Amino acid sequence: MPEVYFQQQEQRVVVPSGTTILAAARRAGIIVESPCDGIGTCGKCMVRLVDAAPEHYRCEEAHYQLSTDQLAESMVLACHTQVLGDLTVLAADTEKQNRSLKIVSGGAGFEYPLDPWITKKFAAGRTKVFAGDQFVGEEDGDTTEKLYGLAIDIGTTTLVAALIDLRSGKELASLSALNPQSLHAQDVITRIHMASKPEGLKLLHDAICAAFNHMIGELCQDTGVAAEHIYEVIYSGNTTMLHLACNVNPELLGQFPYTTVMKGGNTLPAGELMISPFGDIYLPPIISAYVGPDITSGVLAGQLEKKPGTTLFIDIGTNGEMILAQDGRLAGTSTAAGPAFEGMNITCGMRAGDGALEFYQIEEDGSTKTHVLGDGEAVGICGSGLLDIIGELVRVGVIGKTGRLIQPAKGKYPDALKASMKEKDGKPVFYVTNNVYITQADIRQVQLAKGAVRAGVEMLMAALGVAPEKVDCVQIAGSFGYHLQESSLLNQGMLPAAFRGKVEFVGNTSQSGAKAFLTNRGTRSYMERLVKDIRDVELSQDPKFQDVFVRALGF
Amino acid sequence: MTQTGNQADHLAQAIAAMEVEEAAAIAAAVVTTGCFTMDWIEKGITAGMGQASRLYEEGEYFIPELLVCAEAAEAATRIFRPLMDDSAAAGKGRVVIGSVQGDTHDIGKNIVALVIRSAGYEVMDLGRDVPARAFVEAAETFQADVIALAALMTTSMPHMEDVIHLLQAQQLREQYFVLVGGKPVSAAFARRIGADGYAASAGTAVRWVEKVTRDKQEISRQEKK
Repeated sequence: MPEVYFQQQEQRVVVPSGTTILAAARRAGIIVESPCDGIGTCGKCMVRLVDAAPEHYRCEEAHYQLSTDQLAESMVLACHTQVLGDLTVLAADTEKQNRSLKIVSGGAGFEYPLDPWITKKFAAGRTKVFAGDQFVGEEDGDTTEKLYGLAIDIGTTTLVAALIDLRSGKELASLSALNPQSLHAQDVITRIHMASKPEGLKLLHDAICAAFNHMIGELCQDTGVAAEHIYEVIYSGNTTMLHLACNVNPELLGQFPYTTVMKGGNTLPAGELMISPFGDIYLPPIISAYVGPDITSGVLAGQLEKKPGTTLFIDIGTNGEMILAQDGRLAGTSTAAGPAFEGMNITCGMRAGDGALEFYQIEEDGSTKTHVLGDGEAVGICGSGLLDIIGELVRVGVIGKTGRLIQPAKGKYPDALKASMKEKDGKPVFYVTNNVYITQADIRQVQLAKGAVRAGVEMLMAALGVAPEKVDCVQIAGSFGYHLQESSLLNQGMLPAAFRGKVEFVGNTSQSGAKAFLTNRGTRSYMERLVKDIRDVELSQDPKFQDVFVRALGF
Repeated sequence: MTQTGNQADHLAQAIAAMEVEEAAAIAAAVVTTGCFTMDWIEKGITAGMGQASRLYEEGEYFIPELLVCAEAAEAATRIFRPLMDDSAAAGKGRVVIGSVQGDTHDIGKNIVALVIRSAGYEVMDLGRDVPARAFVEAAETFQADVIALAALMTTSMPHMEDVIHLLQAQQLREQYFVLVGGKPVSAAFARRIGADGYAASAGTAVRWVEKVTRDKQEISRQEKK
């Protein structure tokens, strides 16, 4: 059987002939990022073959096309290249880049009295622990001062865990990390597909539990808190993430009529989490398959149902999940924006780690201002940078109304920018820095993504009969949302122009809502009731959606 | 080029340039002057949509532009339709299309259906979330040449294979060409499930349909001889 040598990681693995390089890497425990789970659409699992004999591998045709430059450099897609003989593979070590991920952990919150679900009572030398007034266990001595909980936001890409002192409500420490599932399957649908098979579900569930336990260990070490004094964990995240974290097959979420197996609004034994043996996990109520507990937490954190007037709340990510609240009436929906905002399906796209261009602005003279995460030069573009770039290029006319890159000869934009319009592989590209560029296909991806969000906003407003001018406040949530600028969203028409001056970025409200669930038990029954009254606006069944979406594609 | 060919070229250009009213006006003029022949369909409408889908593939056009082109083609076809002889229109072939079971995304599929229809094919669009059985039954009653399957989600892709299995179970596999497409679909996937073809865009879909139906007619003509 052939042997594959992963040079960078200095690891060898023997596999049956015909195995893909990606499968070989997984078998060797090496992470080759495969956001599309190997179906060949994203191109991110590209690896280099070192002096490979042509008969030692076979490349299958994939949706993603490698450029002539890449082919010349012996690059192949790990997922679509079969191992037929011994190979030496150069796969990037992405761990360092992912360690530097920029994640927003805090979100806007509200005032509420401290009244945690978990309480303790000391009597006769023993401390009794209660969950919702029910006795769950006993500890030796007086441990009443040691009472902690964990609020976890399970994002599709990133995890944030905060250790909370349940006696004071104070956050002792907070930690963020890459969701390890995203290395195997980037977007929600791909993850559902993977987890529909038992071995896929096990891989994803085990990966996330290991990540949680790792974070618990680190938080305890940083704060001196003993893990056995953590009694409760809140899982806030989208519906799919909750299914996977609870080891529940999410298959039904990926098939019309998109039903959920879990409903949320309940507690489970903490099981595999390394906390107190009588600890539990609370799952906030689920609104629908694609409007999840992260949004329930967001509604709670923003107190949307209590706000007078009209508020639009949007969590922009792979899915644009949104709630429209009008004087206590709430409706929610979700649109498939795709992974472009995560930097996926974009030629120079990347996550918000070191080297990511996250801010881009064009001055009047055509000079540009950029900001890159970390110290070095830009190596790619993350979601917020991408939206800045597109918003600015639309504003100055480098990108036309239909989304077409305008050639310098026909364009009326500053000369300084005309020099940045070049050709690559015979196609026009626009260079935003010396080596980072945007292609026509990238712009099309953004059009699809922003068109989906805009169409969702329009359909939701129509469902409640709200005109854009009547919206008083627009809250953009999510860790991605925090790095955005209002002008970028308006310039490209992701949001109606009537929203100018009304947009606020509220940060990770999934996280701040989770904290409220942890420290105030009344919020649970309150939200469990409220969620039932949130009208679910289902877009895919509405015949008007196509027209609205198509109209929303232009700039 | 013949006289009709030259004029039909104007119609093709109007369609490719998104000029809906101009396309309708040219068609109306042709009908009033009584110089309509089936050439207008092939060299005007089909050629115009061919140009439009090529511009789409090159990145010049995007979905809204392609839809306006299709609207122009449809406007002209509507005017020609009373004069078209049925056999000629049906002669190009019939296509059954739909989004497979479990998938309610259909904008991409709608575009493919439009482009194939504007190329002169009879298209039966079964909509979305279409079970395998419905595809096979429709193909039988409609006497289709091609069954075109769409999926946007990785999770609904396996249902494409269901259609092929059902065709095999009913001994109908050889009767139809099966074409698959959609964002997560690839040529390798098409081969794996035993589909006849894969199309990455509306333009490639229509060119593939033209090729297989032409080959089929060629073979049946030879068999008749």
